[in-house]
Amino acid sequence: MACSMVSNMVCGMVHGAGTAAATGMLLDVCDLHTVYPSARGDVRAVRGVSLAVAPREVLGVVGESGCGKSALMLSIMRLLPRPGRIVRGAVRLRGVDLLGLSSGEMRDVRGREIAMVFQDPMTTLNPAYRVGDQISESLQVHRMTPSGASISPPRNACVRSRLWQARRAREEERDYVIELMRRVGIPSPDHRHLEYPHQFSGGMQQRIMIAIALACKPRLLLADEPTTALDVTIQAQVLDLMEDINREMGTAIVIVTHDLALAGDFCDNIAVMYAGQVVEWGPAEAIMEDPLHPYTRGLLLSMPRLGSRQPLRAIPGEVPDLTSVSSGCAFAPRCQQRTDRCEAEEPPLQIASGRMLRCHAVQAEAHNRARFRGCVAR
Amino acid sequence: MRLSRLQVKLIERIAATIPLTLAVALAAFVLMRAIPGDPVDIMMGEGASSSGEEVAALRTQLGLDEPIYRQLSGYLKGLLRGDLGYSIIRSRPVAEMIWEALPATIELAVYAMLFALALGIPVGVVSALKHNTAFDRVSTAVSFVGVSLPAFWLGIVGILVFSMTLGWMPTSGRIPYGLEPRHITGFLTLDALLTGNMPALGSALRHLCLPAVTLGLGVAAVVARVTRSSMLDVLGSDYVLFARAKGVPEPAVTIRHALRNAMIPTVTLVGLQFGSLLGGNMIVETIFGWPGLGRVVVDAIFARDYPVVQASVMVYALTFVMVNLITDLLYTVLDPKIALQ
Repeated sequence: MACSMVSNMVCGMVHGAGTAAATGMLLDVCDLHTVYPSARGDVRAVRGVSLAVAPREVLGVVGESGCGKSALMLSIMRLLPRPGRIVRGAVRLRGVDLLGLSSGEMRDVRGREIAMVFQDPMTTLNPAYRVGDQISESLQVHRMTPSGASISPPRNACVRSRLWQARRAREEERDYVIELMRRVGIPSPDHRHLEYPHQFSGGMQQRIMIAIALACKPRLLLADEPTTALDVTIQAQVLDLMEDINREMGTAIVIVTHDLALAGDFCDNIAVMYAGQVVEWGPAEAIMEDPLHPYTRGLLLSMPRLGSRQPLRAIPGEVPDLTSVSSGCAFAPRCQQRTDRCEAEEPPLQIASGRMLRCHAVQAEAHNRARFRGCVAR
Repeated sequence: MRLSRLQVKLIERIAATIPLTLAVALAAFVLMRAIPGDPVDIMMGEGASSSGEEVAALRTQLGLDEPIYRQLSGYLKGLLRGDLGYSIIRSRPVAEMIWEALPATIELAVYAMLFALALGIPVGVVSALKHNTAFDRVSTAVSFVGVSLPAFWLGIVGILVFSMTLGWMPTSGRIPYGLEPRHITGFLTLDALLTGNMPALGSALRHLCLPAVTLGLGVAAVVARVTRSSMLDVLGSDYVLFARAKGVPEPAVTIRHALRNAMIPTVTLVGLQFGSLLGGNMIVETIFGWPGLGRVVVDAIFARDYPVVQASVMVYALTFVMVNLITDLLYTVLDPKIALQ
C-alpha cells in the first residue's frame, strides 16, 4: 500500500533506523483527510496528515489557531463533532486501523488505549459529579480493576459472596483513585476525592483530568493544549507532571500547542502544522536550532525573547480559508521565498536534512547543495 | 444546636413567607373592594324589588356597613388567629371550603405536570439528540402549536372528540357519586390506592385524563422546548466530549453526563409552571366541572364573596412560594455548586 510506504519512510526518517518499521510504531496516521461541511462549502480541516508516534515518545504538534491541530486529535479519537467526518486515510494503533473498527470496538480503545485531555479543565470536568467518581468511571466503563485486569463476574457465587466481592472491589477502586490523585500531585486526596470540580483550582482540575486520563493506564495520551488555560507557573508544574508520567509509566504523549518554545523544551519530536497539513516534522532539537520551512522560521522569529530589544516579526498575511485552498502550497501567499512552482503545485512531504518537509524552495536548495557537494567530491 | 447552612436557609425562606402572605392578603382585600358591587347587590339581584331597609339590614348583618379600615382590621385580626372567616354566600367557614377543594386542584395539577414531564422531557431529549432531523423539526413545530393553543379550546375539543363522539372518557367531575374511596388525604387516586379500591382508582384516573392532558399539554410543549435547548447546550459541552473520550457508552453519556446537567433549567421551569398550573386551572376546572379551588374562586368572584376570594388568593400565593422552595431544594440536589453557597 502506497500509504504505508510513505509512512514507513517517514517513520524511518524521523525515528532513526532502529524503529523504522511501521509495525513498531504505536500510532501511525496516514494521509488523513477530515472535512467539516458548511454552508460555504467543505472546510478541509485536515488535509493529508501523515504522522507517527513511537512507544514512549513525546510528540509536539505545533501551529496557530485553526490549523487543524484539534481536528487531527479528534479524528484520531473518532470524536469529530458532527457534521465533521474523516474522508480518507488511516489511523493505526499498533497496526490496527482505528477507522475500520465498529463504534463499540472504538469505545474500548478510547480511555483504555488512547486517552485525551483537553484545554480547559473548568469546562471539561462534569460539574455534577465528585472528582473521585469521575476518575473511577473510566475503570468502570472499561470493566477494569485497579490492577489492570478485566472484571469477569463469577458465575456460580452466592449472593452474599458477590456482595462482599462488590464491596471489596469498591474499596480497591477508592484506594486506587486516591493513589492516582496522589500520583498527579493533589494534596490530601483521601478526603478530596469526595469534592466537586468547582472546589479545585484550575491547575488542580487539570491534574484531575490527567488522573482520569491515566486511570486505565493508556499507551497514548493526546493532550490538546493542556496548559493554555493555566497561568505560567502552573503550566510548568503540569508539564513536569506529564514528563514524569511519560518517563515512569512509559505513556507516549502527543501534545498539541501553539507554543513552539514549549514544544521545543518538552518534546522529542515536533510536527509543525499549517492549514491542515504537516509542513515540517522532525527531532525537536533540529527544528528549534535550524528550522527549514519558511513557516517554522516565521513562527520562531515571531516568538518573544527575553532581553531582546528587537520588535517581533510577525508573519505577514493571514491563514488561508480552508474551504477554498488553492492548488499550490497553502503557505505560498505569505511566503517570502515563493516561486511560480509554489503557486502551481502542492509540495509533497519529503525527506530533507534529517526531517520531513513540505516545501519546494527549501528542497530545491537542499538538492542544489547536494549536487554541489557531489561535484566537489568528484 | 448548630444548624446546617441548608437548614438556616430553609428557616429564612419560610420566615420570609409571613410578610409576603400579609401583603397578598392586603392586596386581595383592597382589590376585591375596588370591584364595583358588593355581595348584597349580587344577592338581591339587579333592579331589586326588595326594599332599602332589607338591603341595609343585610349589610349590617354582614358587617359591610362598617368603614373599610374597621373591616380590614377585623379581617387581619381573624387571620392572626388563623380564622379565614365565613363565606357570605354559603354561610360556611372558608377554611373548610378551601380544605375540601384544594386536594382536587393539587391532584389535577400534579397529574397535569406528570403528563407534561413524561411527554416533554423525552421529546426534548430526543429532538436534541436528533438535532436538525425530521423528528426535531416536527416536534419543534408541534410544540410551538402546543404552546399557542389555549386550554379552553383544547378542553372543549377534547370533550367533543373523546367524550361525546368516542365515548371513552367522562365529560365532567372527579368520580361518580357513590364510588368515592374512604376519605384519607382527599387525593382520590391516593385514597383509592391506600384503601385498595381499584374500581375507584380506575374511575378517578379516567376522570383525570382529559383535564390533566388539557392542562398539561401547553406545559409539555414548553418543557420540551426548554429541555431541547438546554440538552443541545450540554451535548456540545466539553465534559460530554470528555466523557466520550473516556469511552463512556452513548446512553450513559446522554443520561448520566448530559441529562442531569440539562435538567437544571427544566426544574426552574417546572417550579414556575406548577404555580401557574394551580392558578391557571380555573378555566379547565370550569370546563370539566372539576370541584377544585379554581371553581370555588370563580364562583366567589362572581358573587363578590370577599372572604372566600381573599383566602383563596392567599392559598395560591403560599402554594406558589412553597413550590419555589421545593424547586430551590431540588437545585441543591442537581447542582453541587448551589448546595455550598
